[in-house]
Amino acid sequence: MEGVHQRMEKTSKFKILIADDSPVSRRILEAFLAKRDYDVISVADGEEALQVLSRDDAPRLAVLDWMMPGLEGTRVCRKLREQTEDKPYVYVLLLTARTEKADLLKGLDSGADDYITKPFDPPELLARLSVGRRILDLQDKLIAARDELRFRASHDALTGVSNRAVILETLHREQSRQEREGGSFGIIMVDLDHFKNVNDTYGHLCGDAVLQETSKIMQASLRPYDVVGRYGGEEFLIVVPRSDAPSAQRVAERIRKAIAAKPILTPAGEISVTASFGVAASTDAARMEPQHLLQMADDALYRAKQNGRNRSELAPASPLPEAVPQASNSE
Amino acid sequence: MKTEARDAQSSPFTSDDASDSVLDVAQALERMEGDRELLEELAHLFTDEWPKSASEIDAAFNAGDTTLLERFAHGLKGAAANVGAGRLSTAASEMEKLARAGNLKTLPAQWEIVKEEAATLFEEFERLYRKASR
Repeated sequence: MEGVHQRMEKTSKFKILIADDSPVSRRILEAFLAKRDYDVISVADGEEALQVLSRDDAPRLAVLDWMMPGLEGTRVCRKLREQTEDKPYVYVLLLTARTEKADLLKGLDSGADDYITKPFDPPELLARLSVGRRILDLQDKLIAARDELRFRASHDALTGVSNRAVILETLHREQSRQEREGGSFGIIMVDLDHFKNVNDTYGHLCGDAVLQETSKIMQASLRPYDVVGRYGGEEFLIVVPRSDAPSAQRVAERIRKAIAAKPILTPAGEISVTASFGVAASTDAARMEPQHLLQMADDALYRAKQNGRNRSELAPASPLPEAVPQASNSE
Repeated sequence: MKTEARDAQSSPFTSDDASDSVLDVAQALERMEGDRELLEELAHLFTDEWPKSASEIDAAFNAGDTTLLERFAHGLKGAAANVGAGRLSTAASEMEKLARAGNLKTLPAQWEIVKEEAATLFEEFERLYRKASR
């Protein structure tokens, strides 16, 4: 038997897999579909079919012959449906000479979406394939809508960074990781300086532009595994995994300089913006609960404001005594 | 392609009508949307595959494996129907039924019929495509 015949063609064509052990039947189907602008991948047995369908760029439409040596079409279906659910759905059409009702039910029960009897009737095959494509198209739209909703549920609408719930969740996750694996991590509390003035002087549109631009600068200054979220109005929280206090402060300084480096372009013209940073870290020597860590970072941020703004302050290395934290101040 | 007397009398639309024909080119072409090159390619494919299929069927006989015989006969039935080989398809279909019934007594005789039909078909292919391809 021949191996996999693949036609590498423009990606605009709809990919389809054909599995049939008979070279003649396979060739007929292949020629027929290729003329209909399908990008045909054809294989001679069930194992190969499953292999192709498990690839990352797998076709999402498959015509499987029921009777094949090795893995039958129905078994390919079963195995396919057992695979992880985050793979794109494959619409399967069983090709069968069996016309007994019990057989057809068995075929559909195996996870096939539809069946067509051989020798196939060309218009019927095309019609059934277009049903499949309609369903796949519908699924794509639903997935896109779901992804969009997921994004909106986890991100801040204005700035596109994580929202408050997600950044706090990230902080708790990082703490759990530390409990399991040890090591340290840092957090940075960021607050834009005199942001109220921007809003009052230039209006909210400009304020929004400033928030958007500074968010971009922060994101650009972070490593891929650092996460920034909008914590409050003009306040951001950054979680810096696998970092001790000095390296978290280096991250803060990098962002501070980037923000202060050049004015931000807004609808009202260029506005110079700076930000203040409070940095705290939870280390193996001094592990801290998220709430406590937030408190420390907030206190450090308060000191940064007190000491003239456009600067970063590091929380003291040893944790505060148990009862103390209550002097919460953000400006 | 060369004309064939048999073509004229069988309807191109149903495979049943073609079941008594060695090779119904018109009907096969109908299935292939008039693609003569494809039909010729399939004839070659079919002919080339045959020795392998036949030896596999012989092996299944030796093993007394009727399930395997059923499967082979089934595949042959479909492939033959696809190229418009009605008589071979019918013979293979008969063989499939016998195999499904586990009838090892009458199966060998049916297998002989299938082989004869196949031989007749290949002569027909030869007649049609030798001149055309050389």
